Amino acid sequence: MSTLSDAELLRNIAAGDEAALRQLYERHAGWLLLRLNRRCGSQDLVAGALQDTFVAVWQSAGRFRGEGEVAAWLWGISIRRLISALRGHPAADPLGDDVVGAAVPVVNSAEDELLRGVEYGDVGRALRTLPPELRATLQATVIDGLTTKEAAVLLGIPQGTVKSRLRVAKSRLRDQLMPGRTS
Amino acid sequence: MSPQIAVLDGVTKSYGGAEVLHRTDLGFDRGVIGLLGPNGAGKSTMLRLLATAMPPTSGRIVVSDHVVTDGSPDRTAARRRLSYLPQEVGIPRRMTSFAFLDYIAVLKEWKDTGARHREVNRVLGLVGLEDRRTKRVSALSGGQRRRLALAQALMGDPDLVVLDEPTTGLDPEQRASLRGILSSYADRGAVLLATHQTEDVSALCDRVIILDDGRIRFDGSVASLIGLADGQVWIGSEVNAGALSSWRTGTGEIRSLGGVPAAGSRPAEPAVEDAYLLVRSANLIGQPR
Amino acid sequence: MTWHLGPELLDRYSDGDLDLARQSAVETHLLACADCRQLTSAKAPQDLLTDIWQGVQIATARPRMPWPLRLLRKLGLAETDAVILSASSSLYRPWLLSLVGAFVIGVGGTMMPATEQRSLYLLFAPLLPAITVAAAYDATDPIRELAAATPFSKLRIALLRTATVVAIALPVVLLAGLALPFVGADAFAWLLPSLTLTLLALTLLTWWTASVTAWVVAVLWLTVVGILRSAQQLSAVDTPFAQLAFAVAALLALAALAIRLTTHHAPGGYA
Ligand SMILES: [Zn+2]
Repeated sequence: MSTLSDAELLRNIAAGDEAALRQLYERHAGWLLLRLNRRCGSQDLVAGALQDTFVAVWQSAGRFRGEGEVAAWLWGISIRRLISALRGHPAADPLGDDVVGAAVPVVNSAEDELLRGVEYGDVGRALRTLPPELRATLQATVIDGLTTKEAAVLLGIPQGTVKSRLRVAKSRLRDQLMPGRTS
Repeated sequence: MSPQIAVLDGVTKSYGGAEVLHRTDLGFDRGVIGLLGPNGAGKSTMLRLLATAMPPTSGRIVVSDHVVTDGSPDRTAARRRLSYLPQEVGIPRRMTSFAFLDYIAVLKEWKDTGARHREVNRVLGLVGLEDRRTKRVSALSGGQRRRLALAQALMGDPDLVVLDEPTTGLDPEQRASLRGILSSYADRGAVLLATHQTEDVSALCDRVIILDDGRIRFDGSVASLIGLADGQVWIGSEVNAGALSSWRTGTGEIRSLGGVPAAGSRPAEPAVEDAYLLVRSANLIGQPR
Repeated sequence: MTWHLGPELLDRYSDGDLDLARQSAVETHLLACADCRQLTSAKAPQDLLTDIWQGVQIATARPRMPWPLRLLRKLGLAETDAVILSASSSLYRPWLLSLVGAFVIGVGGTMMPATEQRSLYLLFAPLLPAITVAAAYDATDPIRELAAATPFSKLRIALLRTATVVAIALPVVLLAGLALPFVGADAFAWLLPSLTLTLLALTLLTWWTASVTAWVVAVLWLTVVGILRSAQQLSAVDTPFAQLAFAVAALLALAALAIRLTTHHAPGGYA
């Protein structure tokens, strides 16, 4: 059996290779499903989002630009599919306390510079001092790399609230992690 | 005795005055039934008649308790219980594999879209074409097209599966997997297959029918067919005088079918093919031609 | 990478009972580590993954209906009927054939002497629906034998195809006739001959393949137009007598089709 890289698989998928799509699914569908489960309690919505993700990959594999991890690209698609599914179900359960966490940011925006290069433990400890709604906001924007608009849908709160919570959360973290630094 | 799944009752078929199937009475129960015979023996005609793809010239055909020769409603009812693979299927080339099966599934009255698509997907997997769903028929190889045609015959849960040379164009692995699939259908219904492959018959069939010139020459179990060739197959260093056929085996010895055993030769285990050739030559059982 | 996900961490992540900081740490690690992704994926419910994969397979392979069929679906056409129609491509082909036919009549007509314009129109206009009905059968002719052994009503297929063809071809040819100045009084005279030829084509389709049927009908009509023209009687087509004759012929063709249908023959094969 060939062991093609993810990017090579995507290239074959773009050329209409159904076996390559199956291989990519076998590699990635499992962890994507589990991670989506951590974001939304509705099995139907999660399953739908995962299916849509691979249908989208089939239709637009050629748009992967070959920079960065395919895994991150797939996650980006699937979390956004989940968000559009949530848009269709405004009453779907918003994220609770249990889906909040902390880690190194995966987006490279300048304002997240703060969280870079910090030991997981420190961030974790700092995050645990935040109230759940602030943690959820941080996770959606920083860990999942969503825009404030997308985060608003995922969390089921107005966009303005996301922005203000984000502001508060960041300034509190800054105070805890880098007490000496002035903003 | 439970009612049979399919019955031919005094069935004949003529084309423009020429009789291609002489008055035939046959009944089919559950299991795999192999139909052997040379080209033009009437195998395809018999299968077409059973599949209701054409009407008989005379006689009565019953499938799943519906008398298909009675009229349209009965025929339609019978068609809901059978599936058919013709010898040649010219699948429209611009269709994709999935679209072709989807169309046939609609013709087979799969009304619910979701269930129909799942069934199409299932049979695509059964014949090993799951990675060719979106390909147009024109992009498929000959063997793949044959498997696609076969896939439509595997849809649903038919009582009667009629297959005209299903193993043509399949490689040994695919043939083995088809045998497995067909035996699972045979648990529930009758699987009738015409073939030129005597190995398929010995590997798969509960019953063999040999047709020649529109007439039944043999009808019985595989064991009783092979039994006809008992004592007729010999292996030795010389060809039997008057042998029906002979060839040099892999060990360098000569295997002879029929004839007078040559000096020093010993009897060998007969195979379906030996019995088939004997029945065809008709010199053993002496049936009138 | 200095650390990987241990079995306990994997279990707790997949069960969703990791503390928040660790969960995010796990997720960040997963994005960068293929080995741990593989271990994590094994924890996902495999039955659900198989179901979702089946959904992916169907969604990527399901044929997309052409927009006119999607429109008809919105107007209440059954989904299975739409599949029948899209398999015979009986929407865009009649549309194309009618447009090409109308174009030929229009362009050809203006380039011809006035006396020939009429025969051109009377030759093409009535044939178009009949030929397009036959063309709808052409796509599925190779699987005639296979289709014959299926329970779907052959009559329904014939009606579906004919109705769509007529619904498309009729307005196109009619509009072309009304728009072309040289057609004049013939703009409606072709309707009854066309009905006759369409019914005849459907009847012949119970015996022959689509391409044979199309040729037979075309040659037949060509002969009729040729005879009328050489007898200088083309103008007789829109007389009440000729129209009555066409009406009678249409009824005869209808009767022949009905007889074929009741004796288990349908357009496209054994009913
Ligand atoms: Zn790792």
